[in-house]
Amino acid sequence: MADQPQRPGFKDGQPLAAADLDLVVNHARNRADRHERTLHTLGIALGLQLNTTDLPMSANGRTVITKTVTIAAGLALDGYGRQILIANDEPLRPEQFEDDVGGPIEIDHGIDGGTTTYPYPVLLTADDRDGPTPAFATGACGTSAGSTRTIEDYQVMIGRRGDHLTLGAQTPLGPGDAVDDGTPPFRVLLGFVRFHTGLRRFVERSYELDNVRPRRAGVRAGEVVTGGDRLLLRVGEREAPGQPALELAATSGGRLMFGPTLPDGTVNDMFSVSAEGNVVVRGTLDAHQTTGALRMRSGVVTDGLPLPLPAGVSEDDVSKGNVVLHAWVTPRFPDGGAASFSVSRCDVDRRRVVHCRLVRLSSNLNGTSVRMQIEQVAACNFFLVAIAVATSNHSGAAP
Amino acid sequence: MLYIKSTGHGIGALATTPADLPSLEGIATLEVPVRVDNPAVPKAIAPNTLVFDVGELVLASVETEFTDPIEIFDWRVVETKVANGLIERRLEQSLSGGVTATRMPAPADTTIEITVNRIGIIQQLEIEVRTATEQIATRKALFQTDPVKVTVPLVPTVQLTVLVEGYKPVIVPRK
Repeated sequence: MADQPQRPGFKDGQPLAAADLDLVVNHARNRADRHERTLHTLGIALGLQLNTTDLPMSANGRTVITKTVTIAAGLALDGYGRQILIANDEPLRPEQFEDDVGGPIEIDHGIDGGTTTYPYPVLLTADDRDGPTPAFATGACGTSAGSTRTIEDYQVMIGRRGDHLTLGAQTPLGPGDAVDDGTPPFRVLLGFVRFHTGLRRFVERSYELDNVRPRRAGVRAGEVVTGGDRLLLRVGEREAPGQPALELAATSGGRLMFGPTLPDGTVNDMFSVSAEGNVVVRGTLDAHQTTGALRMRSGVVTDGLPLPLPAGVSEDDVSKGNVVLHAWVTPRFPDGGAASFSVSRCDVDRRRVVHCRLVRLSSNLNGTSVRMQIEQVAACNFFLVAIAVATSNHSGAAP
Repeated sequence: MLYIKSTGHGIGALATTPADLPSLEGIATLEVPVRVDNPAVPKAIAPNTLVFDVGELVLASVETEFTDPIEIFDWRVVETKVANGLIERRLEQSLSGGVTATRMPAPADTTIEITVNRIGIIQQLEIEVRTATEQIATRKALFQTDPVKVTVPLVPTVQLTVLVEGYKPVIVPRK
């Protein structure tokens, strides 16, 4: 059971013990950790990309592009609320792959050469350790010797294949818990690497495997407030024009805007809603998913051809019953002079294929006989309507 | 526009606002009409509809100035491969009167003879012979002589349609 936090208090003339000073430090540290793990979600806050440089090498007479991997300086929050700082760019040594993986290395035989491994995860953990012992550490009036500094260090390791699938099962600390010596390391995923066992070099860096990607740190909040007149959400590590952004602005009585950012940092208003509920859309308004929405297509089609679906309606929509189709076809009578025509058939089958056949009727001069001749080719006007429906209980096209 | 891959004959058209082509997904065969060059042939039954496997056909978007899609039946598509593996398509009017196809007299009436006039300096033309339901023979008209005669043996005694690249289809009446 977690204890309530304590902070030190001091009185004049009080002997100052090391534990008192430790409590000063630890109180602040634990308070910061609590803030990080309760008001933020874990992940990479800044940097920590696996940057690569190509290094062509030769293996069995073939050129292989190997990768020199460097972890960019940056900061992550782990599930315990600790900041893991890499202060400077850190090379990922190729030798570390075999050292860390240790056991059998799994080769991906789907890659030519049979010497390239499957992707292995690159993991980061916090690693507090004692600093160097001061030159004059022993004191006549003290009983302890050794380091008086703790380095808030880190470890980068190549995990075992499949370790990325277990990261989500790591248990963060509770609100009142604190990290102690028995707390297991909390691993943060940085990416994946493939290793060439012949050249003993990395040959690929990737950021996604089995739908698992490095997490980005987030904010846990029920309210976000600004004292200014503009609140911006923007996607992009460094600000640059064209990044998708959402802006809540107090101007013009209040407005929500979405669009790409402009060079001056404002949002190019492609979609906005005013506080009065007026919506402005500068692109196409797709009402596809709105129940009852209609999409239409009309034209002329010859016998035997399937009807095209209205724009924005897919075959998948039809087969899943997301839309119901209604088709109307009327024959186009050829220019036949005095001839009349009879419609043999004019319909659309379940495949949406049009069937249109005409019979030309012509009579002799005195009208005593009528000659019937089937038209070789015929066409019809069509009008096709797709109606979006709420459920998928419908079974495809209903022409 | 729907056309026969081997000979280019236009066998269907659709005029609508610019959009995606109709999907042939889930369709194995299409029964479509052809406009033949000799409809007055005795015993010929018009309209002459033919069944094609969808794989024998091409559906492509072609810009035309036709007022009526039915006009496409008098035209064919000529494909030209251009850079980047793309195919450029242009329409050429199908010619009349350059092809005759006749069934040989009994007892050789399971053989037809197709006579094809040369078009310009073209070296060869594709030929398809079909019943109403399937393709039964393909040949090439190689113009070592002009016209060239092509014999197709062992054909059924039903009505046949002969499609020669560049010409309107012709009918060989049933026996």
